Amino acid sequence: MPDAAIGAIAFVTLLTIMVGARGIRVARTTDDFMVAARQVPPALNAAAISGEYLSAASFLGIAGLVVAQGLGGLWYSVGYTAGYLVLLLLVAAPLRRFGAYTIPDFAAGRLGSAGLRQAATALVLVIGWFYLLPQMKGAGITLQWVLGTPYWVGVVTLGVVVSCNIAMGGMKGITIVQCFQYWLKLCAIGIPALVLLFAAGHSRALAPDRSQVFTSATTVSLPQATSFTLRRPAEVTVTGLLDQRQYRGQRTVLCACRHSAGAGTRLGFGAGAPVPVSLAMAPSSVSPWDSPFLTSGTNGAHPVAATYGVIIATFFGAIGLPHILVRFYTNPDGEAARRTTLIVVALLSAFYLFPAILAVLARLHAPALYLSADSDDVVLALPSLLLPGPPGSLLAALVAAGAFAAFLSTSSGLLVSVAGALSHDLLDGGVAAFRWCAVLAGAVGVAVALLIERFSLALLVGWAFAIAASSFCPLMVLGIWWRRLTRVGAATGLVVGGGCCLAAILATMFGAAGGGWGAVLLGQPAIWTVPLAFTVMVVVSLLTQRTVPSNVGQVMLRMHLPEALSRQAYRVPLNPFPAPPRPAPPRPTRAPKSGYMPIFPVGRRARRIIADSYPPRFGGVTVRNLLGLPPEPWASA
Amino acid sequence: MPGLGDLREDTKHGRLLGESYLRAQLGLSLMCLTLALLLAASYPVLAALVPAVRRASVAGLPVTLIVLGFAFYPVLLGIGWFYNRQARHLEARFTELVDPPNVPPDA
Repeated sequence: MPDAAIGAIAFVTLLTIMVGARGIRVARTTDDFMVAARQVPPALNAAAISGEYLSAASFLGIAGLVVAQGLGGLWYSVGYTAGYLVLLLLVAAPLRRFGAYTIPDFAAGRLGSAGLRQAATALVLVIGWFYLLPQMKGAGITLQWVLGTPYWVGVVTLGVVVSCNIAMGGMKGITIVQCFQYWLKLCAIGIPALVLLFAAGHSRALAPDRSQVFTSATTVSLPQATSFTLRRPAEVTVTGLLDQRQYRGQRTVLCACRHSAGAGTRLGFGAGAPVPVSLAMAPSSVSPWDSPFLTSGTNGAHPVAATYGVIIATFFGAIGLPHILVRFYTNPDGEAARRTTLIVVALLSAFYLFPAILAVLARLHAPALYLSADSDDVVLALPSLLLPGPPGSLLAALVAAGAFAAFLSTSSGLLVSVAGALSHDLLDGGVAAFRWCAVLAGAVGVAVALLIERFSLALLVGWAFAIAASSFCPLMVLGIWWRRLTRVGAATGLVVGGGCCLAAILATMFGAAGGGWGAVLLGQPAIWTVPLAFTVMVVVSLLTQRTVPSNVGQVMLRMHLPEALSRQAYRVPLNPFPAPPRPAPPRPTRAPKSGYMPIFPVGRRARRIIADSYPPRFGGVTVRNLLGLPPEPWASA
Repeated sequence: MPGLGDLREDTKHGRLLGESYLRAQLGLSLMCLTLALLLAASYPVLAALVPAVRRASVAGLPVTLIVLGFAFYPVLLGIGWFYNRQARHLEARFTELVDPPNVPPDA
């Protein structure tokens, strides 16, 4: 059965590596020239942004959460999409017009402070690593499910593939590849969802099982040790360890009380028997499964407040994700950036219809899935459970391939951002430093990912969003719309908001949260850290008004005016890193031997076009380095 | 009539003009944002206060699945589409105001 899935995963991985190592030639014909001219059409660019954005949490995590905890888990998919609407409303066009590549660049360019750049860089690292963990976990459980390997094998495999690929120079801003990844993911989740819905066969396939009884005789296998309760006594055929007794297929009547089962136990329920309620997910026994509230990470306390925490984190978190910003620069102008973002909202909406369908099908037709403590592999396991035989295996292979595409694309984008921030903003190094930082960042990600197997994917990604929403979101929003923001205010807000949020999340991870309001405020901290970060930034800025940059009015206006008008009104183009006047250096015909490896083997005219149209820095690597050109003479001076 | 020159020279008129344009854009963004947030935030409150809402089902599907799984996305898209149209409109009107298309001398 898993042969097809192994083949599919290997195919996707090899394809990514090959495109990374050799695809520069593919990129030469289309992408580089388009990026150089900044003429990537909005539809293509939007698909690329979506391809980079849809991660393990979207592909596996949401369905797993919905199966385990109920329909409230869908708030994550609504929030991930709405995050792009908020981005469209508040930052898309002004950010493109400002012309910064990374968030630290924006902070330094808008407020002119090196200290602020350091604080922003540290936060890029925190958010990037936090976001990297669920991708690694996703790879771990996917390989676990496909090959039966231990969890760490998948984690290490993804880490090695992605870091080596980036260190070799691949996967860097290749729009076409990310665009392909989006359509692959959409097909890999859409086709199985529709086929299984059709196979489930009746129009009421998505109706909830309020009665919570097995409609037909069902055997439930428990992959992990689990405890569960029954609401009515039931006659069950047991194989394996149950309540400290070893059974070998005997029929026994279980009381309506709490039971504990060992790993590998199989329970055969007859038609009409009550579906057991798992205690590994206490919340689902507290609230019914069609409840619209979310209780992940908060031990089931105060579900409405916890839901608002998730809404705030996801709505405002997308603005602050470190790996998305670069893509906005490939839009020709602010108007195109807005159009691109709207298309992203549409593409994400289309994708997120399917995890909901899969989750509801799993909940109805495969109750074994939500009895196991870790429900993140629901999407992978469902096709072969519902459709036995080759069709199910093929669908499962498709799903596994899509899931791996999700891990590869998102973690590549993240690792480029993290390694760029490390090598460029902290170490001030060149291409060699960037490579070592990519390997180092990947290794750290792998090491931490081995420790976090018990947290659900959606929860982990939700936490990354919460940190972004309580640090970078206020910085960007106030930086773009409020002229009185000062660098002291921005830095204080970043440190206080991001720090409080991170501390609360770490407290929850180490189990210090307890129950009640403490669990909500620590488990879904965005509900208080986002307002706190905004307040601190505003108050401290008002106290330090003397440090407002003197030309702020002009900078603000030029971020918001349409390009045609600002070109006429201001002769000097708005650019936070103005290139110094170019003294026409003698251009060597070949790249120097040491230090600068020509990663893009392109012709001389193309090189000049690209070098002229990029701003000096790109993701921590200077474009001139990438092109094998010597450093500009003023760079060393 | 203040125009491009005032923006370029950063005169008092130019500053006023720029600020009013910024305020118009910010107002539009905040209006759309408030609408989206209100719509999202009202559903949990509604479901908490009126439990009948979350038990209800339409055509055999629970309301929560319809709202969170399907119905929200067209609303988000609609708000985004409206915002894009209005923002383009504001930009065009401001451009026309500060840089009016050339009027023929005899008109």
